[in-house]
Amino acid sequence: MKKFVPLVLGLVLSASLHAEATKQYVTLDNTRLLSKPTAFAKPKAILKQNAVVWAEPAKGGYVKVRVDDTDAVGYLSVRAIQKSKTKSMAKASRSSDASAEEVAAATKGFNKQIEADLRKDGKNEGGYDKLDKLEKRTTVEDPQSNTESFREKGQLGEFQKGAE
Amino acid sequence: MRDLMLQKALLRAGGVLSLSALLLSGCAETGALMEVAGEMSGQKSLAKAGKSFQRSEEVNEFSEDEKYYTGRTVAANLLAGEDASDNDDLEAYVGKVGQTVALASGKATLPQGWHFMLLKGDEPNAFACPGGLIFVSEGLVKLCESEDELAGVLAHEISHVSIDHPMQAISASNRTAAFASLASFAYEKATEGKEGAKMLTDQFNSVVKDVAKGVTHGYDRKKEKEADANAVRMLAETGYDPRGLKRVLERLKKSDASHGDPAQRAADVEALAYESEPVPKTLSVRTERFKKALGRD
Repeated sequence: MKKFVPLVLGLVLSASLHAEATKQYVTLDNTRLLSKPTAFAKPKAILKQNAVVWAEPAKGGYVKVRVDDTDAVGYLSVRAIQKSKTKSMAKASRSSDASAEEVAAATKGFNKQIEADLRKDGKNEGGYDKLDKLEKRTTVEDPQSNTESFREKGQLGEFQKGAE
Repeated sequence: MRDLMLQKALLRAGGVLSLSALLLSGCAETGALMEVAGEMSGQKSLAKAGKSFQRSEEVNEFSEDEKYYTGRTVAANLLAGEDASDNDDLEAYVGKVGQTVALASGKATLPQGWHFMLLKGDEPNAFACPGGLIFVSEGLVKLCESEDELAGVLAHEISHVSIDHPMQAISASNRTAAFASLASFAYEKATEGKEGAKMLTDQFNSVVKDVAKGVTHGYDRKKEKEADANAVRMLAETGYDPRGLKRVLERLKKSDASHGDPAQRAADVEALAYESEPVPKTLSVRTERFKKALGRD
Protein backbone atom coordinates (compact mmCIF):
# COMPACT_ATOMS: atom_id res chain seq x y z
CA MET A 1 0.00 0.00 0.00
CA LYS A 2 2.86 2.34 0.91
CA LYS A 3 4.22 1.86 -2.60
CA PHE A 4 1.24 3.69 -4.05
CA VAL A 5 1.46 6.73 -1.77
CA PRO A 6 4.04 8.63 -3.90
CA LEU A 7 2.06 7.81 -7.04
CA VAL A 8 -1.18 9.11 -5.52
CA LEU A 9 0.57 12.22 -4.22
CA GLY A 10 2.09 12.78 -7.65
CA LEU A 11 -1.29 12.48 -9.32
CA VAL A 12 -2.87 14.89 -6.82
CA LEU A 13 -0.02 17.38 -7.35
CA SER A 14 -0.28 17.07 -11.12
CA ALA A 15 -4.04 17.59 -10.99
CA SER A 16 -3.69 20.67 -8.80
CA LEU A 17 -1.06 22.17 -11.12
CA HIS A 18 -3.29 21.56 -14.14
CA ALA A 19 -6.22 23.12 -12.28
CA GLU A 20 -4.17 26.31 -11.79
CA ALA A 21 -3.18 26.54 -15.47
CA THR A 22 -5.38 28.77 -17.59
CA LYS A 23 -6.07 28.59 -21.31
CA GLN A 24 -4.39 31.46 -23.15
CA TYR A 25 -3.63 32.42 -26.74
CA VAL A 26 -0.32 33.56 -28.23
CA THR A 27 -0.58 37.21 -29.28
CA LEU A 28 1.94 37.36 -32.15
CA ASP A 29 3.30 35.17 -34.91
CA ASN A 30 6.86 33.86 -34.56
CA THR A 31 6.78 34.02 -30.76
CA ARG A 32 9.71 32.16 -29.21
CA LEU A 33 8.86 29.51 -26.64
CA LEU A 34 11.80 30.03 -24.29
CA SER A 35 13.81 27.40 -22.43
CA LYS A 36 14.27 29.77 -19.45
CA PRO A 37 12.27 32.76 -18.16
CA THR A 38 14.35 35.37 -20.00
CA ALA A 39 14.01 36.86 -23.47
CA PHE A 40 17.56 35.85 -24.35
CA ALA A 41 17.21 32.13 -23.60
CA LYS A 42 17.38 29.62 -26.43
CA PRO A 43 14.00 29.01 -28.07
CA LYS A 44 12.46 25.55 -27.77
CA ALA A 45 9.89 26.22 -30.47
CA ILE A 46 8.42 29.04 -32.54
CA LEU A 47 4.72 29.58 -31.93
CA LYS A 48 2.08 30.99 -34.24
CA GLN A 49 -0.45 33.69 -33.39
CA ASN A 50 -3.47 32.26 -31.55
CA ALA A 51 -1.63 29.04 -30.61
CA VAL A 52 -3.29 27.67 -27.47
CA VAL A 53 -1.13 27.36 -24.36
CA TRP A 54 -1.89 26.39 -20.77
CA ALA A 55 -0.26 28.98 -18.55
CA GLU A 56 0.70 28.69 -14.90
CA PRO A 57 0.54 31.79 -12.67
CA ALA A 58 3.05 34.48 -13.66
CA LYS A 59 6.36 34.94 -11.89
CA GLY A 60 8.53 37.98 -12.60
CA GLY A 61 7.08 38.83 -15.99
CA TYR A 62 7.14 35.27 -17.35
CA VAL A 63 4.78 32.33 -17.27
CA LYS A 64 5.51 28.66 -17.61
CA VAL A 65 3.32 27.25 -20.36
CA ARG A 66 2.44 23.97 -22.01
CA VAL A 67 1.62 24.20 -25.69
CA ASP A 68 -1.75 22.56 -26.27
CA ASP A 69 -1.10 20.71 -29.52
CA THR A 70 2.53 19.61 -28.99
CA ASP A 71 2.79 19.37 -25.18
CA ALA A 72 6.05 21.34 -25.40
CA VAL A 73 6.82 23.10 -22.11
CA GLY A 74 8.64 26.43 -21.87
CA TYR A 75 8.32 30.08 -20.88
CA LEU A 76 6.58 33.08 -22.41
CA SER A 77 6.43 36.73 -21.41
CA VAL A 78 3.13 37.75 -19.84
CA ARG A 79 2.86 40.26 -22.72
CA ALA A 80 3.05 37.45 -25.30
CA ILE A 81 -0.25 35.83 -24.34
CA GLN A 82 -3.84 36.92 -23.84
CA LYS A 83 -7.10 35.43 -22.66
CA SER A 84 -8.90 35.71 -25.99
CA LYS A 85 -8.00 35.04 -29.58
CA THR A 86 -6.86 37.88 -31.78
CA LYS A 87 -9.66 38.21 -34.27
CA SER A 88 -10.22 41.44 -36.08
CA MET A 89 -13.71 42.58 -36.96
CA ALA A 90 -12.72 42.70 -40.60
CA LYS A 91 -11.87 39.01 -40.42
CA ALA A 92 -14.96 38.26 -38.35
CA SER A 93 -17.21 39.66 -41.03
CA ARG A 94 -15.20 38.44 -44.00
CA SER A 95 -18.08 36.28 -45.12
CA SER A 96 -20.26 39.34 -45.58
CA ASP A 97 -19.93 41.67 -48.56
CA ALA A 98 -18.36 45.10 -49.02
CA SER A 99 -19.36 46.42 -45.62
CA ALA A 100 -16.56 44.52 -43.87
CA GLU A 101 -14.21 47.49 -44.00
CA GLU A 102 -16.95 49.86 -42.92
CA VAL A 103 -17.88 47.63 -40.03
CA ALA A 104 -14.24 47.31 -39.05
CA ALA A 105 -13.84 51.06 -39.11
CA ALA A 106 -16.98 51.66 -37.10
CA THR A 107 -16.14 49.24 -34.37
CA LYS A 108 -12.41 48.81 -34.21
CA GLY A 109 -10.43 51.75 -35.46
CA PHE A 110 -8.26 52.18 -38.48
CA ASN A 111 -7.15 49.91 -41.27
CA LYS A 112 -5.32 50.30 -44.55
CA GLN A 113 -8.51 51.25 -46.38
CA ILE A 114 -9.36 54.04 -43.97
CA GLU A 115 -5.82 55.37 -44.23
CA ALA A 116 -6.11 55.33 -48.03
CA ASP A 117 -9.39 57.29 -47.79
CA LEU A 118 -7.78 59.86 -45.51
CA ARG A 119 -4.82 60.26 -47.85
CA LYS A 120 -7.14 60.59 -50.86
CA ASP A 121 -8.87 63.44 -49.06
CA GLY A 122 -5.49 65.11 -48.63
CA LYS A 123 -5.60 64.79 -44.84
CA ASN A 124 -2.16 64.53 -43.25
CA GLU A 125 -0.65 63.50 -46.55
CA GLY A 126 2.57 65.29 -45.62
CA GLY A 127 2.69 63.45 -42.31
CA TYR A 128 2.10 60.08 -43.97
CA ASP A 129 4.83 60.79 -46.53
CA LYS A 130 7.32 61.65 -43.78
CA LEU A 131 6.32 58.55 -41.87
CA ASP A 132 6.74 56.32 -44.93
CA LYS A 133 10.30 57.57 -45.41
CA LEU A 134 11.14 57.18 -41.71
CA GLU A 135 9.65 53.71 -41.52
CA LYS A 136 11.54 52.60 -44.60
CA ARG A 137 14.92 53.62 -43.20
CA THR A 138 14.27 52.23 -39.71
CA THR A 139 12.95 48.82 -40.75
CA VAL A 140 15.01 46.01 -39.23
CA GLU A 141 14.53 42.47 -40.47
CA ASP A 142 15.06 39.85 -37.76
CA PRO A 143 16.17 42.11 -34.86
CA GLN A 144 17.31 39.09 -32.84
CA SER A 145 20.05 38.28 -35.37
CA ASN A 146 20.58 41.85 -36.49
CA THR A 147 21.56 43.06 -33.02
CA GLU A 148 23.57 39.99 -31.96
CA SER A 149 26.96 41.55 -32.58
CA PHE A 150 25.78 44.78 -30.88
CA ARG A 151 24.70 42.75 -27.83
CA GLU A 152 27.96 40.83 -27.74
CA LYS A 153 30.15 43.95 -27.89
CA GLY A 154 27.99 45.68 -25.27
CA GLN A 155 27.80 42.59 -23.02
CA LEU A 156 24.04 42.55 -23.23
CA GLY A 157 21.37 39.86 -23.34
CA GLU A 158 22.94 36.41 -23.43
CA PHE A 159 26.41 38.04 -23.36
CA GLN A 160 25.98 39.77 -19.99
CA LYS A 161 28.93 39.69 -17.62
CA GLY A 162 29.07 42.80 -15.46
CA ALA A 163 26.62 42.89 -12.55
CA GLU A 164 26.85 44.02 -8.98
CA MET B 1 -30.07 39.78 -21.64
CA ARG B 2 -33.34 41.53 -20.85
CA ASP B 3 -31.49 44.83 -20.88
CA LEU B 4 -30.21 44.04 -24.33
CA MET B 5 -33.69 43.25 -25.64
CA LEU B 6 -34.97 46.45 -24.09
CA GLN B 7 -32.18 48.43 -25.73
CA LYS B 8 -33.00 46.94 -29.13
CA ALA B 9 -36.69 47.74 -28.71
CA LEU B 10 -35.91 51.31 -27.66
CA LEU B 11 -33.55 51.74 -30.57
CA ARG B 12 -36.12 50.53 -33.05
CA ALA B 13 -38.75 52.78 -31.49
CA GLY B 14 -36.51 55.82 -31.21
CA GLY B 15 -34.91 55.67 -34.64
CA VAL B 16 -31.35 55.43 -35.76
CA LEU B 17 -30.27 58.84 -34.57
CA SER B 18 -30.93 57.89 -30.97
CA LEU B 19 -27.97 55.54 -31.26
CA SER B 20 -25.61 58.42 -30.98
CA ALA B 21 -27.05 59.40 -27.65
CA LEU B 22 -26.25 56.05 -26.08
CA LEU B 23 -22.92 55.53 -24.48
CA LEU B 24 -22.78 51.78 -24.20
CA SER B 25 -19.94 49.35 -23.88
CA GLY B 26 -19.12 45.70 -24.46
CA CYS B 27 -19.44 43.29 -27.33
CA ALA B 28 -23.07 42.43 -26.79
CA GLU B 29 -24.21 46.05 -26.77
CA THR B 30 -22.04 46.91 -29.74
CA GLY B 31 -23.41 43.97 -31.66
CA ALA B 32 -26.99 44.91 -30.76
CA LEU B 33 -26.47 48.42 -32.07
CA MET B 34 -24.90 47.14 -35.25
CA GLU B 35 -27.70 44.66 -35.77
CA VAL B 36 -30.41 47.29 -35.34
CA ALA B 37 -28.54 49.83 -37.46
CA GLY B 38 -28.11 47.19 -40.15
CA GLU B 39 -31.76 46.19 -40.11
CA MET B 40 -32.97 49.79 -40.21
CA SER B 41 -30.63 50.78 -43.01
CA GLY B 42 -31.38 47.67 -45.02
CA GLN B 43 -27.80 46.49 -44.79
CA LYS B 44 -28.12 42.78 -44.21
CA SER B 45 -24.37 42.33 -43.92
CA LEU B 46 -24.18 44.87 -41.12
CA ALA B 47 -27.05 43.23 -39.26
CA LYS B 48 -25.42 39.84 -39.75
CA ALA B 49 -22.08 41.09 -38.51
CA GLY B 50 -23.86 42.60 -35.51
CA LYS B 51 -25.39 39.24 -34.60
CA SER B 52 -21.99 37.61 -34.96
CA PHE B 53 -20.43 40.32 -32.81
CA GLN B 54 -22.97 39.72 -30.04
CA ARG B 55 -22.17 36.03 -29.94
CA SER B 56 -18.44 36.48 -29.97
CA GLU B 57 -16.43 37.38 -26.92
CA GLU B 58 -13.26 37.15 -28.95
CA VAL B 59 -13.39 40.36 -30.93
CA ASN B 60 -12.82 42.70 -28.03
CA GLU B 61 -9.09 42.73 -28.73
CA PHE B 62 -7.50 44.98 -31.31
CA SER B 63 -5.28 43.03 -33.67
CA GLU B 64 -1.70 44.22 -34.04
CA ASP B 65 -2.49 45.33 -37.60
CA GLU B 66 -5.30 47.55 -36.32
CA LYS B 67 -2.98 48.98 -33.68
CA TYR B 68 -0.36 49.65 -36.35
CA TYR B 69 -2.73 51.55 -38.64
CA THR B 70 -4.07 53.52 -35.70
CA GLY B 71 -0.49 54.32 -34.73
CA ARG B 72 0.34 55.39 -38.27
CA THR B 73 -2.48 57.92 -38.31
CA VAL B 74 -1.50 59.27 -34.88
CA ALA B 75 2.13 59.48 -36.02
CA ALA B 76 1.22 61.16 -39.32
CA ASN B 77 -0.64 63.86 -37.37
CA LEU B 78 2.30 64.40 -35.06
CA LEU B 79 4.86 64.44 -37.84
CA ALA B 80 3.07 67.23 -39.65
CA GLY B 81 4.82 69.68 -37.33
CA GLU B 82 8.14 67.85 -36.96
CA ASP B 83 11.26 67.36 -39.06
CA ALA B 84 13.14 64.10 -39.28
CA SER B 85 16.76 64.18 -38.18
CA ASP B 86 19.33 64.07 -40.94
CA ASN B 87 21.82 62.29 -38.67
CA ASP B 88 21.40 58.79 -40.13
CA ASP B 89 24.27 57.27 -38.13
CA LEU B 90 22.85 58.46 -34.82
CA GLU B 91 19.40 57.20 -35.79
CA ALA B 92 20.87 53.80 -36.69
CA TYR B 93 22.60 53.66 -33.30
CA VAL B 94 19.42 54.64 -31.43
CA GLY B 95 17.68 51.90 -33.42
CA LYS B 96 20.22 49.27 -32.30
CA VAL B 97 19.67 50.19 -28.65
CA GLY B 98 15.89 50.24 -29.08
CA GLN B 99 15.73 46.96 -30.99
CA THR B 100 17.87 45.30 -28.30
CA VAL B 101 15.61 46.47 -25.47
CA ALA B 102 12.47 45.59 -27.47
CA LEU B 103 13.60 41.96 -27.53
CA ALA B 104 12.65 41.85 -23.83
CA SER B 105 9.27 43.53 -24.38
CA GLY B 106 7.32 40.30 -24.76
CA LYS B 107 6.28 41.65 -28.15
CA ALA B 108 9.54 41.30 -30.02
CA THR B 109 7.85 40.07 -33.18
CA LEU B 110 5.35 42.82 -33.96
CA PRO B 111 4.03 42.24 -37.52
CA GLN B 112 5.49 45.49 -38.85
CA GLY B 113 8.44 45.47 -36.44
CA TRP B 114 9.60 48.12 -34.01
CA HIS B 115 10.74 51.43 -35.47
CA PHE B 116 12.94 53.96 -33.67
CA MET B 117 12.88 57.28 -35.44
CA LEU B 118 14.97 60.33 -34.65
CA LEU B 119 13.45 63.80 -34.87
CA LYS B 120 15.28 67.06 -35.34
CA GLY B 121 15.35 69.56 -32.49
CA ASP B 122 17.00 70.29 -29.16
CA GLU B 123 13.82 70.00 -27.11
CA PRO B 124 13.96 66.72 -25.15
CA ASN B 125 10.94 64.74 -26.28
CA ALA B 126 9.81 61.20 -27.00
CA PHE B 127 6.53 59.60 -27.88
CA ALA B 128 5.27 56.14 -28.62
CA CYS B 129 2.48 55.28 -31.04
CA PRO B 130 0.55 52.00 -31.23
CA GLY B 131 2.08 49.36 -33.47
CA GLY B 132 5.68 49.98 -32.34
CA LEU B 133 6.40 53.45 -33.76
CA ILE B 134 8.78 55.19 -31.33
CA PHE B 135 9.97 58.76 -31.85
CA VAL B 136 12.85 60.38 -29.98
CA SER B 137 14.18 63.90 -30.43
CA GLU B 138 17.87 64.64 -30.90
CA GLY B 139 17.55 66.81 -27.79
CA LEU B 140 16.56 63.87 -25.61
CA VAL B 141 19.41 61.71 -26.93
CA LYS B 142 21.81 64.58 -26.17
CA LEU B 143 20.41 64.88 -22.65
CA CYS B 144 21.63 61.32 -21.99
CA GLU B 145 25.20 60.68 -20.89
CA SER B 146 25.44 56.98 -21.57
CA GLU B 147 23.92 54.18 -23.63
CA ASP B 148 22.31 52.85 -20.45
CA GLU B 149 20.47 56.14 -19.97
CA LEU B 150 19.31 56.15 -23.60
CA ALA B 151 18.15 52.54 -23.15
CA GLY B 152 16.14 53.72 -20.13
CA VAL B 153 14.33 56.35 -22.18
CA LEU B 154 13.57 53.89 -24.97
CA ALA B 155 12.49 51.15 -22.53
CA HIS B 156 9.92 53.53 -21.04
CA GLU B 157 8.46 54.32 -24.48
CA ILE B 158 8.50 50.65 -25.54
CA SER B 159 6.63 49.82 -22.33
CA HIS B 160 3.78 52.19 -23.19
CA VAL B 161 3.30 50.30 -26.46
CA SER B 162 3.75 46.79 -25.09
CA ILE B 163 1.31 47.48 -22.23
CA ASP B 164 -1.07 49.04 -24.79
CA HIS B 165 -1.49 52.40 -23.05
CA PRO B 166 -2.22 54.30 -26.30
CA MET B 167 -4.81 51.74 -27.40
CA GLN B 168 -6.49 51.83 -24.01
CA ALA B 169 -7.05 55.54 -24.53
CA ILE B 170 -8.37 55.00 -28.03
CA SER B 171 -10.74 52.28 -26.97
CA ALA B 172 -12.46 54.50 -24.45
CA SER B 173 -13.07 57.41 -26.78
CA ASN B 174 -13.55 55.29 -29.87
CA ARG B 175 -16.56 53.58 -28.41
CA THR B 176 -18.56 56.77 -28.15
CA ALA B 177 -17.41 58.19 -31.45
CA ALA B 178 -17.89 54.94 -33.32
CA PHE B 179 -21.52 54.69 -32.28
CA ALA B 180 -22.24 58.22 -33.34
CA SER B 181 -20.50 57.65 -36.67
CA LEU B 182 -22.13 54.31 -37.20
CA ALA B 183 -25.53 55.80 -36.50
CA SER B 184 -24.92 58.60 -39.00
CA PHE B 185 -23.57 56.13 -41.52
CA ALA B 186 -26.57 53.83 -41.13
CA TYR B 187 -28.97 56.78 -41.31
CA GLU B 188 -27.33 57.99 -44.52
CA LYS B 189 -27.61 54.53 -46.01
CA ALA B 190 -31.26 54.31 -45.01
CA THR B 191 -32.03 57.68 -46.59
CA GLU B 192 -29.77 57.07 -49.58
CA GLY B 193 -27.44 59.81 -48.47
CA LYS B 194 -23.80 59.54 -49.45
CA GLU B 195 -22.03 61.37 -46.68
CA GLY B 196 -22.21 58.62 -44.06
CA ALA B 197 -18.97 56.88 -44.97
CA LYS B 198 -17.15 60.20 -45.15
CA MET B 199 -18.47 61.21 -41.75
CA LEU B 200 -17.31 57.90 -40.37
CA THR B 201 -13.78 58.48 -41.63
CA ASP B 202 -13.78 62.10 -40.45
CA GLN B 203 -14.98 61.06 -37.02
CA PHE B 204 -12.12 58.64 -36.64
CA ASN B 205 -9.68 61.29 -37.76
CA SER B 206 -10.92 63.52 -34.95
CA VAL B 207 -10.61 60.70 -32.44
CA VAL B 208 -7.04 60.04 -33.51
CA LYS B 209 -6.18 63.71 -33.05
CA ASP B 210 -7.44 63.48 -29.47
CA VAL B 211 -5.35 60.38 -28.92
CA ALA B 212 -2.29 62.11 -30.36
CA LYS B 213 -2.64 64.70 -27.60
CA GLY B 214 -2.46 61.90 -25.05
CA VAL B 215 0.59 60.39 -26.73
CA THR B 216 2.48 63.69 -26.71
CA HIS B 217 1.38 64.97 -23.30
CA GLY B 218 1.81 61.72 -21.43
CA TYR B 219 -0.50 59.47 -19.46
CA ASP B 220 -1.83 59.55 -15.93
CA ARG B 221 0.48 58.88 -13.01
CA LYS B 222 -0.57 55.25 -12.68
CA LYS B 223 0.24 54.44 -16.31
CA GLU B 224 3.57 56.30 -16.19
CA LYS B 225 4.50 54.33 -13.08
CA GLU B 226 3.47 51.10 -14.74
CA ALA B 227 5.62 51.94 -17.79
CA ASP B 228 8.59 52.79 -15.54
CA ALA B 229 8.27 49.51 -13.64
CA ASN B 230 8.09 47.53 -16.86
CA ALA B 231 11.06 49.47 -18.25
CA VAL B 232 13.16 48.65 -15.18
CA ARG B 233 12.37 44.95 -15.60
CA MET B 234 13.26 45.01 -19.30
CA LEU B 235 16.49 46.94 -18.70
CA ALA B 236 17.68 44.56 -15.99
CA GLU B 237 16.83 41.57 -18.16
CA THR B 238 18.69 43.03 -21.14
CA GLY B 239 21.71 43.88 -19.01
CA TYR B 240 21.38 47.65 -19.00
CA ASP B 241 21.72 49.54 -15.72
CA PRO B 242 18.09 50.40 -14.80
CA ARG B 243 19.39 53.34 -12.77
CA GLY B 244 20.14 54.99 -16.12
CA LEU B 245 16.43 55.82 -16.40
CA LYS B 246 16.54 57.35 -12.94
CA ARG B 247 19.46 59.60 -13.91
CA VAL B 248 17.67 60.89 -17.03
CA LEU B 249 14.53 61.56 -15.00
CA GLU B 250 16.56 63.57 -12.51
CA ARG B 251 17.96 65.63 -15.36
CA LEU B 252 14.45 66.12 -16.74
CA LYS B 253 13.25 67.51 -13.40
CA LYS B 254 13.67 71.08 -14.45
CA SER B 255 12.64 70.78 -18.07
CA ASP B 256 9.66 68.44 -18.19
CA ALA B 257 6.88 67.61 -15.79
CA SER B 258 4.38 66.55 -18.45
CA HIS B 259 4.88 62.82 -17.90
CA GLY B 260 4.33 62.90 -14.14
CA ASP B 261 6.61 64.35 -11.47
CA PRO B 262 10.14 63.34 -12.62
CA ALA B 263 11.56 63.54 -9.08
CA GLN B 264 9.00 61.09 -7.72
CA ARG B 265 9.39 58.86 -10.74
CA ALA B 266 13.20 58.87 -10.31
CA ALA B 267 12.82 57.80 -6.68
CA ASP B 268 10.40 55.02 -7.63
CA VAL B 269 12.67 53.81 -10.43
CA GLU B 270 15.67 53.64 -8.08
CA ALA B 271 13.70 51.57 -5.57
CA LEU B 272 12.55 49.22 -8.33
CA ALA B 273 16.07 48.95 -9.75
CA TYR B 274 17.41 47.52 -6.52
CA GLU B 275 14.80 44.79 -6.65
CA SER B 276 16.76 43.31 -9.56
CA GLU B 277 19.31 40.84 -8.35
CA PRO B 278 22.03 41.51 -9.33
CA VAL B 279 21.68 45.10 -10.60
CA PRO B 280 23.50 45.44 -13.96
CA LYS B 281 26.20 48.10 -14.08
CA THR B 282 26.73 50.87 -16.59
CA LEU B 283 29.68 49.56 -18.62
CA SER B 284 32.33 51.82 -20.12
CA VAL B 285 32.33 49.83 -23.38
CA ARG B 286 28.74 50.94 -23.96
CA THR B 287 29.29 54.52 -22.81
CA GLU B 288 32.21 54.80 -25.23
CA ARG B 289 30.15 53.75 -28.22
CA PHE B 290 27.38 56.10 -27.11
CA LYS B 291 29.84 59.02 -27.08
CA LYS B 292 31.19 57.96 -30.46
CA ALA B 293 27.67 57.88 -31.93
CA LEU B 294 27.09 61.41 -30.63
CA GLY B 295 30.49 62.65 -31.77
CA ARG B 296 31.55 63.30 -28.18
CA ASP B 297 34.65 61.10 -28.28
